[in-house]
Amino acid sequence: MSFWRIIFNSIRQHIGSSILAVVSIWLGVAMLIAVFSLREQTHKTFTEIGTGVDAVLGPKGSPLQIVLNAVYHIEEMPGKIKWSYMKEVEKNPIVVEAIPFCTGHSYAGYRVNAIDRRFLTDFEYLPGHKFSFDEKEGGKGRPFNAAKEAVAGWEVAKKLHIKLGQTFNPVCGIKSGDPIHMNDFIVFVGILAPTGTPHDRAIYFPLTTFYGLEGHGAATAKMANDEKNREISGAYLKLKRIRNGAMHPGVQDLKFNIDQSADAQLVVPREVLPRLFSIIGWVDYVFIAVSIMVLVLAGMFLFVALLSALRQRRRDMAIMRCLGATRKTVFGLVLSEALIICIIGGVLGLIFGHILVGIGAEQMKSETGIQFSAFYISSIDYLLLPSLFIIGMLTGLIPAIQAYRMGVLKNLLPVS
Amino acid sequence: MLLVKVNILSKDTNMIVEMKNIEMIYETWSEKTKVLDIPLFDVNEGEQIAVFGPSGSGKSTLLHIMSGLLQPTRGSVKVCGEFIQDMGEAQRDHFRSKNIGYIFQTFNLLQGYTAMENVLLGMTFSPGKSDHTIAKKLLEQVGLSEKIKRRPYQLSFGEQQRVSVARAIANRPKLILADEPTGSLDPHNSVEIIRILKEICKEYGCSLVIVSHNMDMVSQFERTVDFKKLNRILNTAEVHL
Amino acid sequence: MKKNIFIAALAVVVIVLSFLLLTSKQDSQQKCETEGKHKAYHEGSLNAITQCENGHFEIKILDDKLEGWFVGGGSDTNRSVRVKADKIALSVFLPDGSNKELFLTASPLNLAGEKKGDCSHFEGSADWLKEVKTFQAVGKIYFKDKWQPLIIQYPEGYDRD
Repeated sequence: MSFWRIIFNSIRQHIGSSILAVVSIWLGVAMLIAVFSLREQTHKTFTEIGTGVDAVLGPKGSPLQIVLNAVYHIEEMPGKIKWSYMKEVEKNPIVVEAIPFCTGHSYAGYRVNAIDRRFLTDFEYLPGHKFSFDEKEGGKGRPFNAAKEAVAGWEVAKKLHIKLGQTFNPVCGIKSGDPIHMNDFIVFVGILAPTGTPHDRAIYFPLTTFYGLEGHGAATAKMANDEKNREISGAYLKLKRIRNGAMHPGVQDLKFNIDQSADAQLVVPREVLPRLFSIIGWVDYVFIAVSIMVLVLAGMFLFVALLSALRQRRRDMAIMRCLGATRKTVFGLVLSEALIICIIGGVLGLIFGHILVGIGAEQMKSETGIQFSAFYISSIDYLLLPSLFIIGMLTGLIPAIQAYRMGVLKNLLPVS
Repeated sequence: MLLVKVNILSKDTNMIVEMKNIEMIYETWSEKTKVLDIPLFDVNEGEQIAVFGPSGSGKSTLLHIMSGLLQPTRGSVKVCGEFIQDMGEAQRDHFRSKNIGYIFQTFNLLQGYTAMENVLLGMTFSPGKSDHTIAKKLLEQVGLSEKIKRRPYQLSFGEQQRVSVARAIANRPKLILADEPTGSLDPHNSVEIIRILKEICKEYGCSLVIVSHNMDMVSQFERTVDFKKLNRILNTAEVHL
Repeated sequence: MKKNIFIAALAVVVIVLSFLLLTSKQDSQQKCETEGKHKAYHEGSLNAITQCENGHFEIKILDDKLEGWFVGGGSDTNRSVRVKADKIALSVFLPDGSNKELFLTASPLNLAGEKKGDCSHFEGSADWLKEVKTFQAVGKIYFKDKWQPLIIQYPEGYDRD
């Protein structure tokens, strides 16, 4: 009979407490894995997506709100800015291009944004990545060319089963119950190839279409042709780069200048997002602290279970010593039992944690369009098994020492 | 005055056990108690002997010393040609796993293991692999071929003791020590166990030392030792050969 | 046994609390560091106008050009404050004992809607600015509806407090 068989027999003999110990370790590990994985992916993804947009010219208000709306298609823009002001900003030597947009419409729960056509042809949603309609990449059709044409993000097209040539009526607002532009039929002429960004969850139509939608009023309708009075929600700014692709240092001066104006501000997403994470960072710490406490409690439970099991198995240990097992052998058996329980719980927790991430990822994707991966290896994955090994050693040490020191004869049943 | 008559066997026979001037003293805070004072005790290779004496006279202590579970306060213990009294504990454990099989009055089977697993355990701590075939054969020999998967609580006392016998012999020891092996059994099972034990020891060439207070059981052995005469603490002893 | 469990539980609570405290302590340390000193938005030197809470004049020198911004007091150094001046005259005292005159002209931030006579940004140039490592300068400015002395210490900045 092998030592592993002896260990598993021992675990089987106190199967109830063994299972409880495994389950509690499993849960603690799964929580830690899920929290770390989602946390790291969130930081990475949000930061990465933010790098696709150098800066957003927007109205006065919360910079975070502007970033969330312009980059992640959630929240609302806090106001409007003048088209003419955007044109002034575009003249600045460090500004390469300004792509204006108007938000505030929706369809079937997805945002519908009016935007300059250059968004579909020139805009880099991530550094070096432009939108594509290539069928090989999962896209279809073409960018819009005319007023009543639209393009759908990949996620929207998939969820709403959008086909090219299909029409829709945009909703004037983003809440349910907002009025629908019943007489404005916009036809889908393109579906964007998937980007793994929130842009997959939006629909885009031409800026001029926005002003002409029925029900917007004469003043807004005039804006289609009147640049002097035209208003927009904001503009994506592409800025000049210096060596190694770093942003031009003049962006701070540009930001200062714009921020002093009465009606506009310049928001740099990569500066705003760390502030978002610092605000919600404490939530991560709470989850992590809870997970660690669960693990520590699981370790304590295992310790108590092993001690209790040892007490019941004193005679078994004494018999094994009679049969030739040395003190080191029984020490090793008890310690190995603790290690095995920890590792089984840890491996199950690792798998379950990634499953949890997968489930969470699906939910996050449908809510935000951001892609998370169940297979992402976070920093805690590497530390996990060594840590569990240490926990197993620590919890098993005292029971193992007790087994080592146990006398043989006094733990056998009465003799003649 | 203690008189011990010992007839020494032919010098050509090998000794499997040679114990000389054995003293065992238990010490507590307040007192010292000498429980054994044995000038000489030996067992020849292949011999089967029964040591008889009253309960509490120290017979089990003798077996514990012989098996290396206990170290004598004084004296030399030579078992299977090796002096075990000077060995370290781990060394004695290894020695015991290779050379000695132990049978207890209360069987001392592991309750969470099947009959087969209990027998395999007898081989686990000695060098070499546990052999299922040997274990199965031994269980068949002791008449438990149908019950190898049963756990001790599913076996009668007699059956449990048979498993114990099979376990003791599993690692092919040179010496089997049986401490009141029939103490918990009825007369019928007692006779059966002794018969099985003697047959198996003869078949596998093991020496056998049994301690008991049951004279009916003791009378089945050719060589018996009166522990009262052996242990000077108790009385004058006469060793019968 | 019960004593051991209690001690172990106490140890766990202490460890977790220490972890949380340490994290919050780091955050508060960072906060103190930034509050102790006002940050110059353009990474120039901040010169308090009369006193720190009143306002600042941030200056930055690149080659022979000096740029200056009138900004808010306290930590509002990222907010511009417009002054009604087309020109500012500064008397400059150099370490070698010599005196110079430096004139700063209004350079409105057009994206901020500024104009000459109503702007926060000023520029001046002089050859000696290329070589200078340190200097002091004085002038006057109509700032927040009253005339106030303008004292500049370069590069350390001026704050009479």
